[in-house]
Amino acid sequence: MLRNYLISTLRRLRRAKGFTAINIIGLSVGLTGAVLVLLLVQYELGFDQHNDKLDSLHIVINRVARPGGSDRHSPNVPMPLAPELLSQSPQIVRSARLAIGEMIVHGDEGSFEEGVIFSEPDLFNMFSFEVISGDPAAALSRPDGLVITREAALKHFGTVDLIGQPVALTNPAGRNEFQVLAVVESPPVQSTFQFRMVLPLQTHFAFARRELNWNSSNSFLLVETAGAVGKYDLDETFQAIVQKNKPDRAHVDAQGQQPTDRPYWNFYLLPFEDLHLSAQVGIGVDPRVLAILAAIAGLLLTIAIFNFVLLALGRLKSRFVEVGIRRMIGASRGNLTAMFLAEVLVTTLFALGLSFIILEFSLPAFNRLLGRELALGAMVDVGFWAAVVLLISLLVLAAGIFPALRLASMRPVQAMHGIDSASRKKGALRVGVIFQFSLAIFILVTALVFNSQMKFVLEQPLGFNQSQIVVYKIATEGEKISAWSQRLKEVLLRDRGVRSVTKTSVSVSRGFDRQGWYDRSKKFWRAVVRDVDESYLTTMEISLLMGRDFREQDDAEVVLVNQTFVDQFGLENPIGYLLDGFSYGAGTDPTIIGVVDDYNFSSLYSKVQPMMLRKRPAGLYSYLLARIAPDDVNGTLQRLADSWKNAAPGIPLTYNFLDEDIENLYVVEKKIRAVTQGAAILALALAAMGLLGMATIEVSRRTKEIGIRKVLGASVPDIMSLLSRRMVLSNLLANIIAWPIGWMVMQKWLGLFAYRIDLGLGTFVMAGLLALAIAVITVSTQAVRAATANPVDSLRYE
Amino acid sequence: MIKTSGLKKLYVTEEVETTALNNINIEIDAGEFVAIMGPSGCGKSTLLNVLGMLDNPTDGEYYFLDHEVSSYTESQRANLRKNNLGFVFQSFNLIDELTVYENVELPLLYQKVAPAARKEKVMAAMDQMSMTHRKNHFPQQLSGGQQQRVAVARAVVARPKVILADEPTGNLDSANGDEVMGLLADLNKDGTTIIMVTHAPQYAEYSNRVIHLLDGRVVSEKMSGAGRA
Repeated sequence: MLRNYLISTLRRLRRAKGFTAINIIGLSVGLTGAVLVLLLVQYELGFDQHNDKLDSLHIVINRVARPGGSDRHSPNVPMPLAPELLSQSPQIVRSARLAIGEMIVHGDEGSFEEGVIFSEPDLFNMFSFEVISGDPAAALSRPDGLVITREAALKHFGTVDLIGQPVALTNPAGRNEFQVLAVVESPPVQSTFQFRMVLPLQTHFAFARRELNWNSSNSFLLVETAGAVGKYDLDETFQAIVQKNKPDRAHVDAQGQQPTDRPYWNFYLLPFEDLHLSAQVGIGVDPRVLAILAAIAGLLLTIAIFNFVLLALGRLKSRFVEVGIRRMIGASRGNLTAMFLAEVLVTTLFALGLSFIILEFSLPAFNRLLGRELALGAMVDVGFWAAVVLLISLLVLAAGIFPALRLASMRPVQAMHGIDSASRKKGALRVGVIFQFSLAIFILVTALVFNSQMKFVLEQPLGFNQSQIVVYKIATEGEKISAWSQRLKEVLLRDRGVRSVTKTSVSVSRGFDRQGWYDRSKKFWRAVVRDVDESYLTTMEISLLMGRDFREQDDAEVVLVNQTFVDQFGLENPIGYLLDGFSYGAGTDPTIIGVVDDYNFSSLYSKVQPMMLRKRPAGLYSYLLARIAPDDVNGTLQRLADSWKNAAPGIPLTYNFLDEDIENLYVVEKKIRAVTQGAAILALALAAMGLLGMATIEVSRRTKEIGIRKVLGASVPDIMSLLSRRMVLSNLLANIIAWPIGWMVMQKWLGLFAYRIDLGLGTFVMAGLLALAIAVITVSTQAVRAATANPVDSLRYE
Repeated sequence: MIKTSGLKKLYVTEEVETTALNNINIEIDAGEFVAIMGPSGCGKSTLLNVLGMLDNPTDGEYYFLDHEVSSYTESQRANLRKNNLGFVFQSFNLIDELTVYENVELPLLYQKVAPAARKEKVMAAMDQMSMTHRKNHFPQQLSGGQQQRVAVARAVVARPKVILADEPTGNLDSANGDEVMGLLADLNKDGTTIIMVTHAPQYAEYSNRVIHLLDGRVVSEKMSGAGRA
């Protein structure tokens, strides 16, 4: 019986090549998306699973209350929290604090800057990393121990045989000698911790300042618990610790001033397993991005299913006689339902096969886009197949059950005579077409809005001129940094390709340094503080609204503020205003000498905040921003790199373009934009294919009618409009469904941006018209054929 | 074997009510060859469909092998059909996607006959209709007469007690028509009951009884050809 189903299915598929192609291509595109999301979800769920003790590992998260806003879940906690927690909670058996920093490695192959993590011995007793040689835990128990990965070892020394090797490292605090005491394999790709070198925590340049400091939340705290401990089980312990050590953080209000009943700091234990997919903490992957991708795959699949159902229903008539015969011969309803589902299954399996071929070729591109290492071979396991089987079963049911039941419910006699007993229920077909259109329009709206918002963001005037600015980052020891940055400035200015240069503590999009202080009247002030020099405004082309710019001889006693600062703190006469309390009594409080126009110094998700520009003679100016001439950029960059090598041998210098930095703020959006654009095109193509199929069916069903009408005098345009009328009507109705939904979804998304486009009717009209155009074109191709045919042929056809 | 009393069939659409069959009382015994005749629209095919349990009557009683089937559900009727009835149609009604062999085999598949027995029966039926040499052809590749012989082979493959034939010669030229009628007559000689709707008086001669219908009523029942002999 099954063989019979299969054989007749295969022959039928071969016969109706066009419809089969539409179905298989459509389903395979949808399935490709679905399998891709499946792989991606599997990949993200696999994070940190290599850790043997994963079940008992946690990271301490501080939920910082922000009344009026959503609380911030921060993995950064004060360093002294760890010993307090260990001594007060018997459930915590081990802990490791972890801080991130940078070091310059003076290796055999030269000096390079390297991202480094600083941690404690138990890190290696809690987390599983493959050791090549030495004892990493023991290495971190010594003040000069160094753990290095295979990758870093090969880069700096050309070998992994390094135990006992002395290594010189420099950080802002100075130069130190370390000794390689352990070599480990590089962490697996699916590990939240990615490191190349691990140093003892106490060698972090700020350790002495932070070790006992409850005011500085700058390290991660990882703990191992004995047995199962719930997220909030230690709430009381944590609150007691905060109360004892940092009572002013126990309760606070919106402005960070007045105590309230609500705790300000709320520590809790997040299972380490959940860290990667925690949207709140934001270290790993935002599950909402996965949800968007899954939704896109789902939409594509839905369109493909709709195509399938609509085409199957539309062609039901061609099956009547066959169904009638089968019934007459003895087929039961179950037989017929099973037969049709078998047909759907065969089609779906072909589509699945095709989607694996598409995946095989497109995975590298997806991996580049998503920054992942998905692979069909390695990731295909029992779970994957189980998910695929489930997916296919759902797909077969979704696409097959409706036509199958319609077929099976045919009464044999009527079927034999080609009478659709449910012909008055054509509504289902029409509703289906309308729904199909709605999906296409919705996807179009999404893609159009996404596109214009991202264009808006990327082309938004930022308040400064971002083009032709090169960001140089200098990495060297602390006391030498101002000398070296001055030296670099001189080197850059000497070059004919450089227009101007400024030194700054943080580049535009990197870093964020907020400071708060109370003035004499107990008013709370908060602003972002940037250290710059006297060439900052001219180099960045930021306009000065009031007062004067910095001069070379100015010091930290004078500052510039932005317009938002003036507005927010209600300064009527900002020039000459003394910002008392800013220095907390340790030095002279600064005076405002000028007001600059607002410029965006972080992503456009947030509004411009009050900002203060400060000029400090001995500031840590790690960045130099150079505006270079637009001609021969590469030549200029090369020349500058060479001059720096001659001027300062052994001091690493990295650079990149500022506008790239700014674009990188929207990496996720750009990826989503690429995905939505691709998906929109695919969705439209699929919907158009479905419509083409529907149009073919419609025309062949009405061949006789068309012939009669022509005999009676209908012109070609008459016939065209007759055939297109219903499509146009369906399209118009579809807009009514798609617009409000599209509007709501996009409004919600745009709400995430502080600077956003307005949703105009234009986008919607455009999406509707585009869908309409596609519909009319597809229908016309079929309608023209029928309308221009010889009327006798169409009459003879039946 | 077949008995109807007061059989009635109405077709109701939104505006028109058509009486297709009106108070039909007939009786057909096992081994008979009955021809149903009448002008277009007299209800011949409707009667055949009701007798073949492809359709339920609106009113009246229908006994098939002593089962009163007029109120049977479709699945009960399907069950009776597949074990007792074979159908032959004017338009052959072969399934285009299946080969000659597969078309003939289909009823046995639905009856869940074991593969070995199935093959034997299919080959026997095709042999009887002289279609064995065409078993791997598709219906489109055959002439009308050949297609109708396949349809007859499919109707007899499960050894039904009754064969219902709806103008089996309607689409055939006279040579092929004669041949198909000869096959039906042979089947009847072997004991199969045959009920046939036809327009052609010369083919009604093959039967032993002719029932004339007009406007949904039986107007006459006559012994004919074989019956008179």
